[in-house]
Amino acid sequence: MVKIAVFTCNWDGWSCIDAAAGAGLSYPASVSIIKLPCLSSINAGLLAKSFEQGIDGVLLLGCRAHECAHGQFGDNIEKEFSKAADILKLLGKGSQRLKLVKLEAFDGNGFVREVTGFIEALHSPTSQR
Amino acid sequence: MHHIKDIIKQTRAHYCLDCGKCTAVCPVNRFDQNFSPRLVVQKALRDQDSAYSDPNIWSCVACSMCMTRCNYNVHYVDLIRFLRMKSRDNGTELVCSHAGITESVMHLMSDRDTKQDRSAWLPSGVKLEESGDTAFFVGCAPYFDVIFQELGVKSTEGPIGAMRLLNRAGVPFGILPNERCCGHDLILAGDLDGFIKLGHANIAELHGRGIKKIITSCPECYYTLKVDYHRYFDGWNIEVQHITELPEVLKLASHIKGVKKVTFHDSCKLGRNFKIYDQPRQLLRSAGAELVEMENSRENALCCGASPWAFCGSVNKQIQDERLRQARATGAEILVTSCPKCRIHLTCAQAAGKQEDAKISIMDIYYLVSRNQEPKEKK
Repeated sequence: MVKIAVFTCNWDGWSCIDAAAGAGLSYPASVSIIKLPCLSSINAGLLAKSFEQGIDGVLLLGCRAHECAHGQFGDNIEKEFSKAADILKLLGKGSQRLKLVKLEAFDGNGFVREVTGFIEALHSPTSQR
Repeated sequence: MHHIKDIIKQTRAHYCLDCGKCTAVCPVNRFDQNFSPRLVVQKALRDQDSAYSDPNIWSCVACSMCMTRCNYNVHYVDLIRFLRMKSRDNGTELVCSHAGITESVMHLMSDRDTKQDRSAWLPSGVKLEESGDTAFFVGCAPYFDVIFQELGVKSTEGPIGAMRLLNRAGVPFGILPNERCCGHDLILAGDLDGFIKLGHANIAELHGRGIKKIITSCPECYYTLKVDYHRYFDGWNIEVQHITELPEVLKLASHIKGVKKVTFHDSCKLGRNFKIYDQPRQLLRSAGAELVEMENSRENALCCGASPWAFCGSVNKQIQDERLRQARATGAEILVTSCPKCRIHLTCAQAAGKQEDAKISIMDIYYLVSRNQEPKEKK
């Protein structure tokens, strides 16, 4: 079973996970959720650390552009995301181990669809180490 | 790991006469009076437990300035590395710079099954041998290009320039597609296990390709492969050469156009550790540059304020600012470095520096002297 870390913001991202739980939707138990005040506080170092600790894939779940409760427009997260993806590529681990998803608030189905799709993509032969 | 008594003998720490010359020349002590190499040695001799927990052991920039002054040849940097290993064993957590990304990358690379895809930056003009027993050791420059992209520093310019010089000098070489970090910063940060893992992965790669000789342009890779691999890996018999040690390369005269005045920043590893002072200067002069020296140069050169990507603080920044001030005072157009980390550190300090300070261009020596070979890249 692939180990997945989901970094989510406290706002729209978390509301999707909460909605999924409230509606009784299920997703694999190997998914660990880490809640942050805002996804903009994440950096490439933290993402690299996740892989160093044995995580197979990292999903970043945040608000859509202009919906951020902290007034961020996603520039920082896009930059750190692409930096971490480039590092993964250099390491030969494939940038598909990293995914950035921005959902509308309370979209529980959307979260489950994204996380299960992400896990399936990691299981496909082209993604194997 | 060794016992403190063996380390004291190996590093000759027991010869320390408490004279304080080391502290008098230490660049860290210049800005932080709490740090004294003399006291670190004395603590290690008298009360090891307090030496391991002393936060000062993390302030050392490993510039070897103290070792050039010590009359009794105490190997201070080796002692610091050992104290840091013990400190890590006792649970000290690193305060990593750049959110720990360099440390994580080094650990991720050490996995034996890692198959890196690290050659995309190679320009098509560089001639590489498919087979052959000489490898050019690139270093972590491809990773630095990604990690330090905000600074606008292209660290791969250094190896690209060095490989162009080797091509031009007719020295055949290949590169290792799965080269790992040499481990310099892990061992300096006290992570011996991490260093050993990286070393074994590199050795497997080198032996698998039948490499008998390594040429490198990175001063830290050079030191680690030449000194530390010899020390930590039994049977290490690969010849390691720095590019400036090749007479064929030094003979090249490339005549850089448009560059009048440059000043050269000596890397601590290349300078104080291997006494390679004249060769890079010769390379610059033969390329037609007018060389002016900074207030502190050669064996007195000020460090770039380096750290093993950890515990970088205000003292490191003050050392860097002082070095930039010295470079500007020469009136040179370009501050030339031979180490990718020096270039990153000095560029970082300049970017964070005062607005009113004039900016000096900071360039890699090999890229600078090889530039005129690629007309498209002329500035």
